Amino acid sequence: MEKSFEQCFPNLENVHQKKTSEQDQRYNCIAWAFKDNRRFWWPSSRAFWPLDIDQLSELEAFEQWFEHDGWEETQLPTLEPNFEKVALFTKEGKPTHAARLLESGYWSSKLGGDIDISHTLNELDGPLYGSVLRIYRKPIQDT
Amino acid sequence: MTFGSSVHSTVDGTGRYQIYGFDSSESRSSSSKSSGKYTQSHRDFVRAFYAVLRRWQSETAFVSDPDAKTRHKSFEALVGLAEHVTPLIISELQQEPSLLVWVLEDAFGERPYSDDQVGDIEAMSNAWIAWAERNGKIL
Repeated sequence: MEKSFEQCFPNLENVHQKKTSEQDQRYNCIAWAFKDNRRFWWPSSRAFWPLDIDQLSELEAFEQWFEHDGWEETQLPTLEPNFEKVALFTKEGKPTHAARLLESGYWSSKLGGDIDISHTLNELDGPLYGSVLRIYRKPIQDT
Repeated sequence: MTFGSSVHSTVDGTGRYQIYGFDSSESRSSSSKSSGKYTQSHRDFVRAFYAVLRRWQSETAFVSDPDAKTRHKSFEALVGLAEHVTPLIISELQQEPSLLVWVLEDAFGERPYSDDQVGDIEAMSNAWIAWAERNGKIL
């Protein structure tokens, strides 16, 4: 049975109007959250992960990476001047997804190896991704 | 997660890959008349490969966790089919880098790329294409 958008994301409406890129298996949601559209990120031996995973659980590996990369937890899911934000989703204690906040106030997500969309924060809540566990923020660095 | 019933694949007691679920006319055209025992043709493997690939991609499309993707039953079926359709998989990678690199990893127990290329799907795909050229697995 094909998994449809409606089944996976019951709160997501008009997905085709929210699509911002075509399907591309070269990168996933975590890569996209950290502005990398070239690699598939996950704390797994099959994917790229910027730190040693050692014996960490997946959630611990994510937390370690956020801390290492200078992110701090915030309760505010909206734009703040000079900060970028990433939301981490979990289901039953396991990370499932990450989204990053755009300057428009919408969130940007790569859906697995499928399309990119822009959306409101809770539109991806549901049986596949669970819900937002934490929102992280980090000062925007001039490049 | 549920699975349809149009194609089922398993390894029989002899270790040979068995494919079920094709229509009877297709099966008859490929069966061995001398022994009366069904023997899979290359065409069967190709059809099974694309059927299982479509299922794997559609049922895991929105999943980012590689371990969740590769625990899926269709992924296991793809690994079982890979040896029979390697040039086809390579052709797919030549058209577009994809997560089929993980199927080849498990099918052949090799990683023809360096550790720092892990996760770079394009580099991994190119490494498998080069591997296929060295091993005569190109269409």
